[in-house]
Amino acid sequence: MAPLEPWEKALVDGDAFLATVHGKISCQECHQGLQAVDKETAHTDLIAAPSDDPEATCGACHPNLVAAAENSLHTTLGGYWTNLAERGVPENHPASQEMFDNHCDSCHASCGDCHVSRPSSVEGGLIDGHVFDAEPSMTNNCTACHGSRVGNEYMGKHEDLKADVHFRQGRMTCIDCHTGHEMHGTEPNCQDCHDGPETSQFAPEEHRYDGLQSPSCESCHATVTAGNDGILMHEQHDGTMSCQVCHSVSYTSCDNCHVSLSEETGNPIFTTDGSYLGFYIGKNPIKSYARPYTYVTVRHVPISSTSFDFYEVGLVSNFGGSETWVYTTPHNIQRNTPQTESCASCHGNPDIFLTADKVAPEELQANQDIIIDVVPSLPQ
Amino acid sequence: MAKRPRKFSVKVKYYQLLVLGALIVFAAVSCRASGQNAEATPELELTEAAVSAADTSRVTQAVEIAADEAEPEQVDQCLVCHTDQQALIDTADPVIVIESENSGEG
Repeated sequence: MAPLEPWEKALVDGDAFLATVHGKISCQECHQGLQAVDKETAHTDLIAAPSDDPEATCGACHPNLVAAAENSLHTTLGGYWTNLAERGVPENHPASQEMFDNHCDSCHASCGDCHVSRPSSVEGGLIDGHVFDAEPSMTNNCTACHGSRVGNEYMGKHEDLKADVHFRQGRMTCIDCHTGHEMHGTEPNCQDCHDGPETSQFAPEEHRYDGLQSPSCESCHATVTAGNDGILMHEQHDGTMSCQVCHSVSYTSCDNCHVSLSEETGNPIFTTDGSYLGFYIGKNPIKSYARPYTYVTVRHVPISSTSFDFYEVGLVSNFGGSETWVYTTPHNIQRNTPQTESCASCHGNPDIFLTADKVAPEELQANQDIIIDVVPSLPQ
Repeated sequence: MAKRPRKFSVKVKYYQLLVLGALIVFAAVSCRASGQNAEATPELELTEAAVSAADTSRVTQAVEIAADEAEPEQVDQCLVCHTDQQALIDTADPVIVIESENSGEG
């Protein structure tokens, strides 16, 4: 994604923006500042990103969305804390809080980061002349953050790997599957938005695979679930594996991430051992009613037992508390993949299974529920 | 002696009546003049309305100009600058290119 010029980041499309509902609101109502000709005075007490305080700004007209978004992973960053806590990183602890603020908190996404500008984590900048877009832009918003894995896989930016069929042939963007309901989070009480005879409540999501699959492949490919699409392999494997096991191709994994502050500039920095492409089938670590599969694709995340030692040695006090090879849903779906070529592509082929020899010795304990002990043999 | 005051009194009454009559006549004339002015006002308004209808735009312009002179329209300085590409270029802070100190893929 090419960076925006400084003037591009701040240029308002006077005709287009002022014709919209948001254009009827005075600039100062959201951004504060002063009415002055010179920039310095005009920018006194300026609030560049008003939606960082959504209740005071967006919430005035969109109270339901703002209330729901409080529970969104984009707001809570709950997935980080869930995974950190599983590995023994304490939440209410100065060192871990400082680490989190320096390295994780920039992933927070405000209303404006999706609907009017690029995310602040990529230095922001107005996308469409300050016109608010109900539907976020795939490249300017979604993959600005979710780029190194999802974006590169979906748009086919890895050499010799095709783009996801949904992008290549369907020209689908992120929001075609990931709805506003999913992105904004869910109101704790269904009846806050929907009429209904019963009161249902949802706890806030704790990580991205919490709760029902949303989206799920079956939402569109319903005939697969019904078992009447005429494809023998769908009937044969019948829910024992996630769709990606057969229809995904190589994707990236990373190793050994360490975070610190630069000695030179004081800025937060990270180092990793780089990323690599691979395809691995493991056992499902989060088997549930919503994800009943035995086999799923797994990806290595770059946590190490010393990842946060810059802040406090031993902050990851329970490295074995959670897998380092994790449930993943690669965004590079193809109808035909190496796995679909023949039964022998998978059955009896240890290369594509996460077997113990592919796992670092210090990570064996953490991944014991993922590692494939016996590779499925060819059916007789 | 007794008749003289009576004669004088009749004369005074005569003058009093004369003055009173003059006042009544004066008042009547004044009221009539005032009534004529009151009746003349609608005619004047009708005349102005006719002029207004005949030349509405000129009157409107005159009113607008008068309003402008009285209270200038508020100009939003935020929009003046932020809709002007050249102004934003001219006033932009210098770009400081910061080399990434990260290594590996994030």
